[in-house]
Amino acid sequence: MYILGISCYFHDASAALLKDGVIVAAAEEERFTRKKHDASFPMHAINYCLQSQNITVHDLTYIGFYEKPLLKFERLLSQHLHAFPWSFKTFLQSMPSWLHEKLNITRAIRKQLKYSGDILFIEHHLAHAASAFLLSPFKKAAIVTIDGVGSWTTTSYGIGNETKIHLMKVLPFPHSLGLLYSTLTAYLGFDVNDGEYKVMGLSAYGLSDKNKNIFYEKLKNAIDIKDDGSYHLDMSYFQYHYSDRMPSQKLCKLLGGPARNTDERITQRHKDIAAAAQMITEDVVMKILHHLHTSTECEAVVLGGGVALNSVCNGKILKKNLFKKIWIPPAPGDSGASIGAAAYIYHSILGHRRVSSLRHAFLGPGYSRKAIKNLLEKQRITFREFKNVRELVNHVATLIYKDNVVGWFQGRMEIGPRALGNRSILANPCNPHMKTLLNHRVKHRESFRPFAPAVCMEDASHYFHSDSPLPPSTDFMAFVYPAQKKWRGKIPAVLHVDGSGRLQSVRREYNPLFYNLIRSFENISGFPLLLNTSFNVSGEPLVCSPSDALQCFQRTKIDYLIIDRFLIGKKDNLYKRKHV
Amino acid sequence: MPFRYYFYYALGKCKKTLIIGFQLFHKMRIAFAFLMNSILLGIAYFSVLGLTSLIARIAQKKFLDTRILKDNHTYWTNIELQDKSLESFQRMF
Ligand SMILES: [Fe+2]
Repeated sequence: MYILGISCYFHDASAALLKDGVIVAAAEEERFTRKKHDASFPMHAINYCLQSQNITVHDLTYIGFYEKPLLKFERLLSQHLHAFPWSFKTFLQSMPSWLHEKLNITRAIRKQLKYSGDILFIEHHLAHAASAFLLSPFKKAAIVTIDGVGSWTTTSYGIGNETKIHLMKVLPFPHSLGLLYSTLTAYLGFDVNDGEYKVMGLSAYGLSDKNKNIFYEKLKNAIDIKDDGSYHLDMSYFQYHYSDRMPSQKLCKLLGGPARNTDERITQRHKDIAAAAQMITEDVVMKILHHLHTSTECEAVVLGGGVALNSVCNGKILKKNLFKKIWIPPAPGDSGASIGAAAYIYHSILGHRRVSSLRHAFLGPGYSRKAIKNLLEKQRITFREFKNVRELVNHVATLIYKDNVVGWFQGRMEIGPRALGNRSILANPCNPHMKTLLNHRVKHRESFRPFAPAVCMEDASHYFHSDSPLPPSTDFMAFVYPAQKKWRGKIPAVLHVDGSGRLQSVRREYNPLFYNLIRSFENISGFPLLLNTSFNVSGEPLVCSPSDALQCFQRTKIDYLIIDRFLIGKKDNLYKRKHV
Repeated sequence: MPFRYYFYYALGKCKKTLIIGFQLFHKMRIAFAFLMNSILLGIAYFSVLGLTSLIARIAQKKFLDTRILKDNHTYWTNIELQDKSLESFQRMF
């Protein structure tokens, strides 16, 4: 039985295909259209999902949509009514797309896919909860979902047991931890729904002492947090419920100055505000988890919703050790909600037994060796083909050890925002100048953002500190860990200013090629880890196809590109740039 | 020389003007549609939403709960009885 899950029209549209309870394909639309966070109807992603299994829409038993559009529309109208007449401008801006597109999702699905079967609508946070729990390794677990906003809910918790999900309590819009973070993201001069990572990165440079960071105290005026983690925002500080501009005058006054312009220099004040935003977020999440732990007595917890992408906060959760086990899926945000919608239909509505957990994120398109070779030959690229894996990984490990920046394109693309070793840019973690070099040559991103370490699973706790065994979601870079003190000076390129790293544990069984590459690097350098960052340039989505990878390679100063078994050197192909 | 020649000759000469004219017309059409849309939405906003919000204000009904309750110990709200039948998932609400 095939079930297709769809999420779209907000941000990060995606599609996912479930075959008898197993996710066989899932991908974000942005990867195909090359528009970052593309929210449009995910036609390309759907086509990919169907083609990957050689099926057509007629083979689908159900299509699941990741929210209930009318509930969301009701919330939107309530916002406009609440703020009448100040909401006029946003009303004019938002209504056309609602009337033409968003309310007609059924028609869009039927018409664009020529589908006549059943379409089921799964409430947004239920889809988040399903995406987190139903594909987790736990039979029973407490569930927490926190995001910007779904239909009405912004935060929820409940319990998952076998195939059943029971969400017990919610916090409704406009009180939203995700939107509080987004508002401060906008205040700090970064793009909402994209720059939240930057705030998280910046927070490490700010004052982390709650007694000394004045913005922490100030921000607490804008949010009332109860002991059980529930909270309400003082909406006089916010205007996202009726305006497209996020920080209000009152909030600017509270934080002692106007919002930062995109090109303005980042000062210590901005860093302290980022740290305060991070601490408030952690306060709320910790209190919710504490409350949930005492009220449910579950020993496992799963997290869903965009806030679960906050790996610094997730790292603190681990450190607190409230729950024995924790699971965060590779795409806890809206792009993973399509997976949740499909899984919810199969397990919770139809009552089928859960068969497997999502142990890797490689659910996107893959390309055959023959197709790749044809492309390279067609584009008259000079390349070297390796006859076996050992030769390939040894050669590439040497290149990385010699401080080359390497584009690494293998197998199927990752779902979720992080490159996990199939669409990655790899570099030497031991070189203290590598961060600057990478930023200068390829990534062009803010210097305060860290790069992540990919470490062989068996060695992860040797280099990074954790009180308990590393949870499996470490494979998805879900947590930030402090590096062991003695190694801090040795692997500077993958550590943040506070000596922490957003660790990715790599297991032989799920990505043998990447694992072997890291081991080869260890043989040369003595360190079983590599710097792993996403294969894209700033402002673009992760590369999807070999031709995306080639384009990215040609436009940046990546030294070598490896696609499957083919090695392409920059120097060998420089003269061809204008012909390709 | 056939008439067609003169026609195409003239057309070639006017092509640029025609293209600009057509583009202008197209832009005006979009602008007009946008204007009409905005006018209709404006009427809807100030009549329907205006009236509703007026009635709600008289009846003291709030659309969003923005209160800060310092004395209460929780903000969590229960989810109303959840209908989990297949039909309920076929609905968009
Ligand atoms: Fe969401």
